[in-house]
Amino acid sequence: MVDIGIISYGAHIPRLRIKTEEIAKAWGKDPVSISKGLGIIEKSVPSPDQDVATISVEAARSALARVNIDPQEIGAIYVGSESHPYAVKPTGTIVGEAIGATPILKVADYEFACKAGTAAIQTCMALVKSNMIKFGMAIGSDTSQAAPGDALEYAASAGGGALIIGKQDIIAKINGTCSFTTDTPDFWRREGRKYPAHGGRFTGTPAYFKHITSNAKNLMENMKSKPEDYKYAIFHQPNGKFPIRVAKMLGFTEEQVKQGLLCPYIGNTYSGATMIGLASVLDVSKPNDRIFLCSYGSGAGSDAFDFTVTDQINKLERKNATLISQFLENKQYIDYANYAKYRDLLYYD
Amino acid sequence: MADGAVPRFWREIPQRYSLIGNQCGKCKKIYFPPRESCPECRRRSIGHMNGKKLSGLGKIITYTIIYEAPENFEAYVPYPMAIIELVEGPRITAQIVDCPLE
Repeated sequence: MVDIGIISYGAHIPRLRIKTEEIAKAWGKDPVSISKGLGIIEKSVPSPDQDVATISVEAARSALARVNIDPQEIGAIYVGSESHPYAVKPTGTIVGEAIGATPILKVADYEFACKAGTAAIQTCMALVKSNMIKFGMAIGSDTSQAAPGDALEYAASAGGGALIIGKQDIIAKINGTCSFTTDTPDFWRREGRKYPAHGGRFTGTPAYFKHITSNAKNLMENMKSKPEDYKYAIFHQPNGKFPIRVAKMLGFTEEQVKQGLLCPYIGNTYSGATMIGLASVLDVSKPNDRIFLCSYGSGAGSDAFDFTVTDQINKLERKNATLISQFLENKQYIDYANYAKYRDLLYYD
Repeated sequence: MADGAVPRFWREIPQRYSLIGNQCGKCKKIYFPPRESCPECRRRSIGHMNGKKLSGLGKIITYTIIYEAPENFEAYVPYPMAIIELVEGPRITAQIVDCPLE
């Protein structure tokens, strides 16, 4: 059987940051207990001219910059997000035009809360496997919303990642993938509503933990693998605490999770979260490293993947695009007043 | 974008998304935004203007900082606008993003 996997990857994280402390101050909360409780120090904030389209294009261009492939050979682009700039008009069309992949191209936008990006990987994988396309691009990116004063406001941030999926010169082979889905309304946003609603403390055990642990166990059972077989593990990261706790529940160590855990420094990038976590791991991984990835999307579902990095990673021009560590360093802090202005939290009459 | 500008927006997608200008097939001069004909070679250039993707690299010739923004840009102030000479030759006027004002 021909191996299918990742050919290249790219990511983008906006430059603006707001500290948890600054948000807590605005609402009269204790900054230390909130920052410690959530495990988030600061989060990324999109500039007024940044949206899911610009973040997706940046990530897609980064993925192309690392590898020598003709964009015309990309046969499909799927963009997963819950903050697509248009309700009707796919973000993928903008990305396709901007990277020069149009017009012989399959495009659709995906939505599955925070796991729409990983769902896009599975679609691209299937299209490549069935020879319907040569290369596919899977993107997960968000500029997530949070109501002013809501607990989500400390986490909801912006960023995205893009993967090129194919079967020639792969840098990481997809050994297997599986999904777990139920109707669990833990977090939702109805049509036309500006901010999402959520089930507060009920979003943990029956939602995030149940779906990730069940799906992760299924994947390890399918692959006949154990947590210690993996060098890195990436879990969806709605805050800094959940991924570490779920890792421990499954038998992974903090050491395995560390490289792919960015939430403390950039917040929850929703559909971008596991994609950026994977980019951070691919920035440093070496041939034969095995990677475990498990996303989570509210509503609710989880996609799990088992990757093995190949020798080709050494030929990938990783330096041709910004590394995650460089995104973390390149930042500018803003105060809550500017945050409110940029995130459109103010009322105009 | 004003509603009446939709067709114009469509036409400008290649230059706006990917900085695609064009080059006169006769004198090889590069233009951005793309021109229907080369003002130097005039009718000899018609039918010989070829699309050319520009590198996006260049140097800032001059800049200004906008404090009184036009409509829909009020939230961005203060922001820099600059005239940039691209390495391929053409000069463009553009907003500078993602850099500290100083």
